[in-house]
Amino acid sequence: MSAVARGVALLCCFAALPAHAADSEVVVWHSYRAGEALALDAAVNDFRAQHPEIQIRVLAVPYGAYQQKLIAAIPGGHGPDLFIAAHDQLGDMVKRDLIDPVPEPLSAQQFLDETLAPLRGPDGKSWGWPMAFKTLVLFYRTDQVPEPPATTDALIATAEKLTGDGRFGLAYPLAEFYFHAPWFFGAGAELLTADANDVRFDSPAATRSGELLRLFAVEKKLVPSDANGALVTEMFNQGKAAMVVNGPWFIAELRPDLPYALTPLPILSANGTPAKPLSTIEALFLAKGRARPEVRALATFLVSDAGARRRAVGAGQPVANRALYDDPDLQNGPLPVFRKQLTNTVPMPTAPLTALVWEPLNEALRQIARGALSPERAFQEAAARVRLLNQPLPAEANPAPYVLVILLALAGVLTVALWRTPTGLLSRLVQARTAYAFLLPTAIGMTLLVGVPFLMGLGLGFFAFGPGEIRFVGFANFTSIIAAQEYPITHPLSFYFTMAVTVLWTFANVSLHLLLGFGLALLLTPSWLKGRALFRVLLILPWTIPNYITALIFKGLFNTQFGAINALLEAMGLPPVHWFDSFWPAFCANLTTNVWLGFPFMMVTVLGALQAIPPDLYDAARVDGASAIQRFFKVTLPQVGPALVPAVVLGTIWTFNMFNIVFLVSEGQPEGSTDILVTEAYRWAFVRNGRYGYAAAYSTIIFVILALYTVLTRRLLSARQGARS
Amino acid sequence: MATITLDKIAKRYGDTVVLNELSLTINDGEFVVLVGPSGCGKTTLLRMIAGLLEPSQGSVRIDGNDVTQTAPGDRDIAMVFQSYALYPHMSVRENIAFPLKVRRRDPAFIQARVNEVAQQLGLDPLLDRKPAALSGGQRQRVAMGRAIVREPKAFLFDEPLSNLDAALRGRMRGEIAALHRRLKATMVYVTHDQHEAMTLADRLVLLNKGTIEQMGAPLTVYQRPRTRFVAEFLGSPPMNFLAATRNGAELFGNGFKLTPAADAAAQPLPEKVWVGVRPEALCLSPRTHAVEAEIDWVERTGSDGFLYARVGDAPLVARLDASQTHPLEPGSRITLGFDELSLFDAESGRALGAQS
Amino acid sequence: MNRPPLLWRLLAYAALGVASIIALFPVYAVVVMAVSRAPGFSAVVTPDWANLTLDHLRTFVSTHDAQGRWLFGRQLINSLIVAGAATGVGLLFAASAGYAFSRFKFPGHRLGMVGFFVTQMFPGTMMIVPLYLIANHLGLVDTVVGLVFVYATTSLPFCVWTLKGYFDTIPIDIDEAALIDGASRVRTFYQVLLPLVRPALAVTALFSFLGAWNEFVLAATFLSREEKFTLPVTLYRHVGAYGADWGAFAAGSIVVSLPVCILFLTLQRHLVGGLSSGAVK
Repeated sequence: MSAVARGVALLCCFAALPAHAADSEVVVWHSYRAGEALALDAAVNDFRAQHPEIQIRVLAVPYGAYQQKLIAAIPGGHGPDLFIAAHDQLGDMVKRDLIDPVPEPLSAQQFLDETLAPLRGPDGKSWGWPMAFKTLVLFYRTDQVPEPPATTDALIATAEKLTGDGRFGLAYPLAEFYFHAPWFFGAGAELLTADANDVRFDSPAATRSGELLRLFAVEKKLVPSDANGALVTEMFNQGKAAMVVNGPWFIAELRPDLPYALTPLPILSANGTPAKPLSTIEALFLAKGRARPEVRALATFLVSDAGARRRAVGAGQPVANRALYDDPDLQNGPLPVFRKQLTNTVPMPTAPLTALVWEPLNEALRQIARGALSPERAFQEAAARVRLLNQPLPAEANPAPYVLVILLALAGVLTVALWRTPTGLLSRLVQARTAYAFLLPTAIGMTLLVGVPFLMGLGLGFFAFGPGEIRFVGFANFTSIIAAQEYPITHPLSFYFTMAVTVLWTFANVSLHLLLGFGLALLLTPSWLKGRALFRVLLILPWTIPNYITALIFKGLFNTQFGAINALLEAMGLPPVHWFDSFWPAFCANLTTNVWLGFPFMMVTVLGALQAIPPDLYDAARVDGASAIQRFFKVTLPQVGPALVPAVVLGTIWTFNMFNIVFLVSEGQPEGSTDILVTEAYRWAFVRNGRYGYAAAYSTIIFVILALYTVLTRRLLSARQGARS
Repeated sequence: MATITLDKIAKRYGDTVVLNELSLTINDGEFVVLVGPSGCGKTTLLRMIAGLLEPSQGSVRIDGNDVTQTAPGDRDIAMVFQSYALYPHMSVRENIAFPLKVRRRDPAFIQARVNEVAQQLGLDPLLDRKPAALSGGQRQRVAMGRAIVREPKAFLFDEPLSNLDAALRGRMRGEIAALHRRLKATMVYVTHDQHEAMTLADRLVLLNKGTIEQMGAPLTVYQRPRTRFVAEFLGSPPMNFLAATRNGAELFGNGFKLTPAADAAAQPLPEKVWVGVRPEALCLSPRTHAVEAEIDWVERTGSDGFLYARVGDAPLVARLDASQTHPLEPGSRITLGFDELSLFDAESGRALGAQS
Repeated sequence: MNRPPLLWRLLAYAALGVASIIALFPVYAVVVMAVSRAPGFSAVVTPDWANLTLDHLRTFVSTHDAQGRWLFGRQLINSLIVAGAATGVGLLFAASAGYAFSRFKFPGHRLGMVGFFVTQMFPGTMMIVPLYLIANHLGLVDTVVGLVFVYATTSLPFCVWTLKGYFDTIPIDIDEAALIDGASRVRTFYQVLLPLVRPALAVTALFSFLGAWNEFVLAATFLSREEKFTLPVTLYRHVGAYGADWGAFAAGSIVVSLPVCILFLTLQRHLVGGLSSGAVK
């Protein structure tokens, strides 16, 4: 039956015919920006000069859409020939059959060993051409730190002297495992077991690294607790952070006149081993079936010493080519420091399980940095969480009964439809031909571009996507979600908790939208009001701004140390709020953002409905002696109410699925407790190993909840209207 | 000009019968008024003539051609709606020109024709206004103009005057009558207003519950109602009805006794009858017949005086000369006399021959 | 009209004032970030008024590609074309469908109206990959036309509902008068009824335009040529895997939001009437 299942799945989802683009052109995709993008362009131009006969198209894709685009485009035949990605995506790309191995062996004389090894497959072939590596080193302000610390003890001592008065000795994003990795691996901890089937960070070594973090953040408060990448940059530029753990990309963001230097990360004083950050190899990958000579020629050139030089000199990229580290032009730059650090790094692991560890680990770090959990407990919980997420794919199910049920249901619906149309369906269809003619374009468009993807989305929920296989699993995804056995219901990661948060989120938002919208609309109505047009314009403004921009702006405003909101609170003599450390503040931050962007819609709707009320009604009420409050409740509300029903229902649906705000503002923090169902579905699909089936099942559940809600409201409304008339 | 024939036409919605196998021929040049209480099917009938509704059964013929399946625009009829249905975004000129434009008539002809119609209706100063800037009467005229401009075979009017105030309604009534005289076109006019029905119609068709209750010249229908329903519907205030029981040749009611003329009752009277008396037939002096009544109140409208009284329990209205009503006081008892009466079978409501 | 006491009026003004300031504050934050030399969010708290710059704006507006073509210009035009065409197509479809749903009874009427609602309930992020595959089958990937149709259809449910509601408020007498006057259904639709639903058309146009103009994930997934990109795709290029250029992002946000702001503000009068008249029924 598995062949049938796969056939169904293929038909459903992945039956795209590869329609290759014009083969004369070589297409390269990357998600570089700024200097790195320019340097890559320069290298490509060098190649163009040598090979004018080859057409090359370089495309910079926004990082936020890169992965999805690759996944969708390469099987669809619209993908690139070559693309640049980090080596840790290798496992996923091989699993999805997106890439071919490099056709020729790569020379160990040309490339650094550390950059070759992570790209090597089990058969010794390389899965990509190494271009550069990214890892972390210590940046320090030479005006504040005379002598770079060689050990963590020295680091702490130096930092302590420089901390205080709104300044910090050290800064890095505490709650990102990538930045904690140096201490973690330096302390001798490991992420995964040797067979990569289980995690190993519930170990004493991991606990030791956690102790160091606690020392930094909780005991000595040397590191700001809420610093993300952008803020670390600002602090370092402004001298508010003396030392920073950061990577090569950081250089481009520093003020040109800034007095700073870099040095390899210090030795851990506790065990005498050097800190070992993760290293990520950026490689050029060959898209499936695209190994044409001109593609290979371009790839070979881009990773050649000449190509690499462009990137090393132009963008300060720590390239993979050995020769450039002997280059006199680059000797005094930062590259040798990175090269030195590279010998003490751990390559970013590529096992499928890795994709599942980041979220729990980051959460553990956040807990430790807040002092909420002991390092030991925090890592234990993270390990337990990963083991839960890593449950084996459900067993394959027999699709026959499902197909049968679907067919029977279709037949049933058809029979009922025919039976309930006594006058003859055919004649009614013919009678309505004019109506159908008017509907035709919409019907075609909706069916193809909304209906079919929708049905496919529903269908995907019955499949599971494992390494290299798609498997029909029936209701297994649904039962596993609804049973929610992993956590007690009150745990933030439980499905029912997330659902409760979603309902609360929706209810709070829609209520506030209504309340604010109604209030402001009422304020805008009186005839004595001057400047009505101006106020209306100002109040509609939030609506016009794309919501991802709004989300990112609010995320900045809510920052604990540097956000404008805490600055405002402090100006009023109130203590700053750690917005994303506990549930309610984080929830309120999300809520504020969404209310801000959502109230104008409701306000405008109410304004329109208010205008539609005949003034006679108010006059009559006034003559009858009704007070302003009575007039509101007896005239305004009953008149406006029905007009708001569609807006409220639609608003509820939109808010329920308001992905951008939650995903970008609170990011689910703390502990995933502010996540709503949609963000959870997204995480399953795109963050946790591509469990599409599970994510689709989540989406279907969301759909069912909303459908029930709509049916219920309709019932209630029609019942009330019935009672009234 | 056209003859419109409806043949056994019916309209049903599920189990609800709106029109029940109704047949009617409207002659060329005739002004037929369809009248009846709301829900009697008169508008449905009109809309089926127009082609806006498809009959469940039966056929519509115009000049002998079966148009049951013909689109409204191809039937060559014009219609004036109760709401006027003017196109709000078009000027008066464009509204009137629209039917001609749709038919791709020559622009010069359209212009000439629009001007001609506008002049006839006194709309020429308003041609460039939008309907929103017109008064009710002006809108009504534009709607008429839009109908006239095409010189259709027949005009359909769906309660065209009901949105106007009383004075304007009277004037427009006159104009429609004049229009009919001038165009000599076939006109079908739906109304629930008996004044319009009585004054405009060549022939009046009174509908009730989807069937024709009675039709004929307005005065004939008024004077010789075939059923109690018709008698009650036409006339304002409506005919008074007094319940009576026959005993021999005499009729006894609560508070009165009367003897109908023997010759008129060709057939033997049933046991229970309604005695119908028009309010204007009543006077304060005894006549052939008389009833004792107690006065409830008196209304004086200048020329007329309306006397509201009770005979036993039955209410009664008399229309008198206003000057006659002055001595009358509520609560006092009087005798009202009359010559003419109608008798209706109390069970079937059918008229029992004209009485005098 | 009688006025309430002065105190009440002052309170009303104060409330509106505070609300306006709150509504404006993030906008102010974006502007400050866009014109500050110091990168990022601290500029919002401590703006350095003496040291403003238009560099971020200039960077965003003056991007050129390897062939020396002015990318920003092309992308601006792309955005205008895509959003404009999506609005046009969407409106045409939605208006005719809304007319059909308002004026006719036919088998599938209820199903259709409910169907529109239903599609709004399935999370959009999960539909991207299936949508891409369908579009690929239809040969719509990497074409502006494809994006136009995808945007047009995604805005259809809202547009059809709104327009249907607005058509419902127009007396059917008008249609019938036109039919009797001899106009065909199609003519009645576009010559008589469409002009009457203009307020609702304005609202739905605004909605479709806003949606298509701001969308970024689909555009980035569908389009694979930089000169075909829409502006939000370029805007998002400033947020990378390692850090982001907040100054450029803020400047870009202003550039991207500005046309929609202007459109919104010029059409806001229609907005008030069109949105709710449709909703009343």
